[in-house]
Amino acid sequence: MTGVRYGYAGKILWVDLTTSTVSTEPTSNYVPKFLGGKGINQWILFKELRPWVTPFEPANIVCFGVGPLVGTIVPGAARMNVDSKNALTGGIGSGSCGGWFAAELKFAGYDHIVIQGRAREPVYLWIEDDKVSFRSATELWGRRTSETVKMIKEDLGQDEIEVLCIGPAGENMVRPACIVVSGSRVVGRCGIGAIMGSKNLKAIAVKGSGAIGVQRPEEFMEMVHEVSLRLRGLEGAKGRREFGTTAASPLYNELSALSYKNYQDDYIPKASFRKISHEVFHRMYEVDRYSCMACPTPCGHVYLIDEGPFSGTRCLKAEANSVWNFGGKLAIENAAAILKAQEECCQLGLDIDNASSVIAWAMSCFQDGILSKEETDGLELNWGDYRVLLELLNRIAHRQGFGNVLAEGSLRASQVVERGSERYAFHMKGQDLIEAIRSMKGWALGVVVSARGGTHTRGALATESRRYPPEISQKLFDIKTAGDARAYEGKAKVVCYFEYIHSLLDSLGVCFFTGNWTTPEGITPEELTRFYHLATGFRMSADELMKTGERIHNVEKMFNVYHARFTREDDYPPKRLMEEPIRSGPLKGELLKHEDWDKMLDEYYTLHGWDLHTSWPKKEKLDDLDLNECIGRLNQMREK
Amino acid sequence: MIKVENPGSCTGCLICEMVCSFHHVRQFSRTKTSIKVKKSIFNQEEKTHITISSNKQEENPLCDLCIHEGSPLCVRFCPENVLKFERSHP
Repeated sequence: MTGVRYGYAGKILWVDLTTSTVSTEPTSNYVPKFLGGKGINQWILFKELRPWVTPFEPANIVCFGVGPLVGTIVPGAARMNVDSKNALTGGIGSGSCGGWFAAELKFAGYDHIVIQGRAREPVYLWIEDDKVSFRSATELWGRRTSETVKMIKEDLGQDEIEVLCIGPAGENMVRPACIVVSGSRVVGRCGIGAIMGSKNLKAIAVKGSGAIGVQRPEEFMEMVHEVSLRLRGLEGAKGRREFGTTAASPLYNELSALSYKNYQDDYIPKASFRKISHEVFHRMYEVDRYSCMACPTPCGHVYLIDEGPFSGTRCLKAEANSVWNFGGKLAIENAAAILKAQEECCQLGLDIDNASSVIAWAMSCFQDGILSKEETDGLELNWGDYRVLLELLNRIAHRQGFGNVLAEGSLRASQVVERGSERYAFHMKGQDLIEAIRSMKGWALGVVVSARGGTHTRGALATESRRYPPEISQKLFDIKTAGDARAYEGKAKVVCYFEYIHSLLDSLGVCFFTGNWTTPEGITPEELTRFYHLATGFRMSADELMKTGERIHNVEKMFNVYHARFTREDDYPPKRLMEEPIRSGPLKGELLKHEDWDKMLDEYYTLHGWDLHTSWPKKEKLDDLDLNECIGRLNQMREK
Repeated sequence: MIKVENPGSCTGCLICEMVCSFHHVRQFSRTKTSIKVKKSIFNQEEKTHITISSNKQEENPLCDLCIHEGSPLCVRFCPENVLKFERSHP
């Protein structure tokens, strides 16, 4: 008996690669206090890891976590969270993905996999219900991701299995390496793919024959049906269904919120943007659509290039990020080349955000004469040159020549090159920044303070890009300014709200797009509470659920305090974005003002109950959240 | 009978499989289901296959048109209207 009967699969699988042994632990040890998915992952990391452990050591841990709503049909409940020590920041590393792997893991009987140690030789893990085996990955080492999946299926003689794997980038411990899941979805940031590589773990394959039950089945089904119908009718869902997440790119460009040529501007010129708009991808290259498991509002699109130099390329996803990164940061104006670059990243196991950012840094340096052809293996790093982009992606993934420098991310690369190149390394806490943050102030706050280092998926709000009218803003957040990009006032409150929401969604396993991140008509906290109750039997109020989100958010924060000693000064944007205004676009002239940022940060820390000087959670706050173990660690920190 | 009317619109969300297993065992699974979806996004040549077991010899539970559910759940929950319930006329 595992203690939790409904919603949860009931077990956590602990895997020690050093000794090739496995054991299980009941999930009930952690619920409902940490919910599941990200919440449990974070708590395991906080409890198990010590600050002296570096990301690529065998003693680092990687947690794969699937929340209690996954394996049911709650709309968008397909997500898996993966957490570890961050390969770029040394603080918390955290990422999430969709696809089908998460549900399959639940059907195999596990809510989490915790990976410890390092295998002597390359291995992959094969999980078939109760049977867990370590299989040789020597033949797989060096293979691209789709070939890896194919070979694993042949090796096992099984076609209908789910696989996550790393590509050459992860094997070579390239810091911008990702994990590719279900062949098309990725756990992108924080270099967790490189950490898998450091452990000689090429892949995890899973097949599950079990089932997930819910505690109150009839009411659960009724509620799912009702909510699904509503979500399918929303404008945002219709846009993503037709164009994918690229549909959101114009919203950002129209607010001067897309980095152009590595922050020389935050606006892609109209004529260039037209060539890489969502309509171009849709009209010229789309051949099919797909959705993640249990999602009634699909955003996946399959693209096929049937002419030109990339003819025959099949690309399984172009995200808003693809346009931001390749089209904006690197100024590639060729839609087919963007799809090709996206697909190459997927095959090499490179995160498009971190990989494109370090290339943008290099192009800036080349433009300003800091780097010459002699140092870049003879390549001329010119903006918009997709041939150079594709060559560099390959060199980064294999750590060849100049690629070996870029494989460290822009902060470390700039420390190698020096000569003023640091000026072009836009990063937060050590991880490359991809978001343009000068125009939308609440978005900026969420991105900059995020624990994993520069990201819009840990509290950054979408109320500005979606231009919430004052009356809606008032009704939802008790402030009028949530939709006003330029306003600093009240934004801290909205960021705190979405930090809890994002923690909850990542812990329950629900997609942000079916949640209420981009529209108030998405699944609300009240509805999440009811879904959680009907599925698992655990009853709590919406306020209690939000407080659980706050608890998980504080654990993540405490990891950064304990492991990286990040303080208030790590919560400021890159200096240049506070000194140089946006040059063009509708919000030309905007920048982040130091004084206003200070005020916003004070308000943000105060709302959280965090110290204004250090940014660390106060003892009373941790006590209130029932995180007494964190207080002990905090005391140790203060003594140092 | 359940007719696969529009397989090209199937997005592979597998909600039909899940609600089918719900009907049979009041749990969600991919094995205890009469309907099986195979959608390949990796291969252009492979078409989407949706099969419904109507033969007692098969391993999966037989489709009984969701007796006692009011209407077939796969049809009711499919977000893309891929499936259609056709009443058979003698």
